[in-house]
Amino acid sequence: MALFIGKRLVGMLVTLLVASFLVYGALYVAPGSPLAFILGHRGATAATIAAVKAQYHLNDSFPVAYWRWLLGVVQGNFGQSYVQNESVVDVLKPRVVTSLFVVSYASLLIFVFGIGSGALASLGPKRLRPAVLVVVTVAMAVPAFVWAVVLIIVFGLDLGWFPTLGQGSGFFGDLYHLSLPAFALALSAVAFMSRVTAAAVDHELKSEHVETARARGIPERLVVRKHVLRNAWIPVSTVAGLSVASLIAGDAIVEVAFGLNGVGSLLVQSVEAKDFPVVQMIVLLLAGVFVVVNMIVDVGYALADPRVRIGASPQ
Amino acid sequence: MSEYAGGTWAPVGLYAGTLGRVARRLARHDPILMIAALVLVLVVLGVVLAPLLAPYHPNQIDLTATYQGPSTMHLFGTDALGRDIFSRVLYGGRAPLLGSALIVLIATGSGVVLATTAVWLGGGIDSFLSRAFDIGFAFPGLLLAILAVGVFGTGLVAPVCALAVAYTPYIARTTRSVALRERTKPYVEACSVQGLSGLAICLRHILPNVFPFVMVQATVSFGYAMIDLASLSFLGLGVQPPGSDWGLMVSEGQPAILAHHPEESLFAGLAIVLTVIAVVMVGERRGALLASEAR
Repeated sequence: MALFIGKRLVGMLVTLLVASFLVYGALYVAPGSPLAFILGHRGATAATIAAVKAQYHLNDSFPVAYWRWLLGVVQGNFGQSYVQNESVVDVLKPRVVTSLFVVSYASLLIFVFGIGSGALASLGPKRLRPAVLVVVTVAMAVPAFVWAVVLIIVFGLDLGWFPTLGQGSGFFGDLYHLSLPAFALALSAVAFMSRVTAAAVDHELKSEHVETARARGIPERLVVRKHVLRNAWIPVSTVAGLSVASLIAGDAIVEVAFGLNGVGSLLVQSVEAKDFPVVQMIVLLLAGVFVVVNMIVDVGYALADPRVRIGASPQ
Repeated sequence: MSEYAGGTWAPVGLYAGTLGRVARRLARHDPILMIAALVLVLVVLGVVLAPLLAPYHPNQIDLTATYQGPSTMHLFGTDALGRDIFSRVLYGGRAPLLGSALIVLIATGSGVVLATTAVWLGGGIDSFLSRAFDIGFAFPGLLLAILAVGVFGTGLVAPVCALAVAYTPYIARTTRSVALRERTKPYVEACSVQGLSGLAICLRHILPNVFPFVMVQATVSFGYAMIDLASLSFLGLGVQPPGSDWGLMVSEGQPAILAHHPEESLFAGLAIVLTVIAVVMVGERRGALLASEAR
């Protein structure tokens, strides 16, 4: 197990290194010199030019500059936003909570409604299956921003249950204001999870060990709980974890759609304002979170299913 | 390829007279595939023939007729500037369809070449390329595309290139797993005994057998690439106004929603959803068919 985790850790570090290389190297492939690219069309004083050169080590050769920049980033030196005249950390900090709230809320929806509806569809009446399949297929193909529009129209305007823009204050204010964004972000993943869960439960229902359990006269209720659901849980929770990771990139879409001040909307604004230091750090941060969540899911899978560790294919 | 009508598209184009018979056979075998393919054909025709079909120029402003509901004059109504939404939806499909097609084309080309090379040469090159694909999976495509826009500016070129890179590992993984299976088959050995070069065996024998599986993956990827591209346009990082693009139209129509004029966002969103469902369904039904044939 230690070997497995070790291998995964090395893989994660390599991925992060590649990500950081991309993010730094982007400066050099950008049109114009790196210095001109960062400063953009803004008037720069001698002091800002010196600051940019120091931050990105522009007087060094590329490999040396990259390495020194990377060492700085690892130590928490994320640089300066030359648009907002603040450090990148100060620009980011107030926005992290909102994004974290939306993504966690959406993750909860995936686990509860995605897995729940899939299990119900599989165990429920067979007549409903075709209808469920149609709903799931359609829901999966709807992008987050179209969900946002539909939710705003139905629940924001027609029913008037939820606010359509902005954020609340306090936990319940957040819960109220961020409900529609979280649903918009989660719904296609919920549909996907529902499908994956139904397939996993179906697979277990048809398996030999379930047949055996039934033949032994174990009540169906217990067979479902102890044999079907427990075995289906391993692949299902893994896919759910990976779906949660995929929310990280999609978060920007709902933040823009609902006018939230989160990390994702900041990324989009910074791209538009050509505030490259902020873009760099957010991309690196989100890629880092994505990689870490994926790694946690992987390790969890290996813990739950020993076959994965030794490289055998599960099922 | 099978004798199944859905598998061989060539007769559809070559013998237009038998189109009805092909369609009937297709419908009997798999009505869902038939409907999805039909929707797809209609969408593509509508978008390609936009200049002939659109009743108005997509950028024709009419400030005396803003925010009109659907009518015989304006099938889908008009937007904030009085532009005809139906015409804009027709024209607005060009960027997403062309962009997604390019993404899938580039990703499939590079994915197939890389994966076949990895499988044929094996050993260190195979494990190196597999690791590289793993790293590719570990980077969300949308994020890569946003970074690319941050570096090269808005428009279609940067996101299309970035997404092509992001989708390559998906195609490569499918190709690799199928090609790996093919590589061990006796006919490969037989060809090599006959003195055929590795390149010839790959090109003439392995690739044609792998191709149907790759096409399934490519078709499904087309749907997801379209969602990614439309998302970028929605964020304002893709096609720029006054151009028409489905993702951009959803975002441009948003302020009007609050004033109870949701037509622009809704019809553009519907166009995206309909196309994606049709594409993914075609891909998945073909995939299911291949899987059942392989059994």
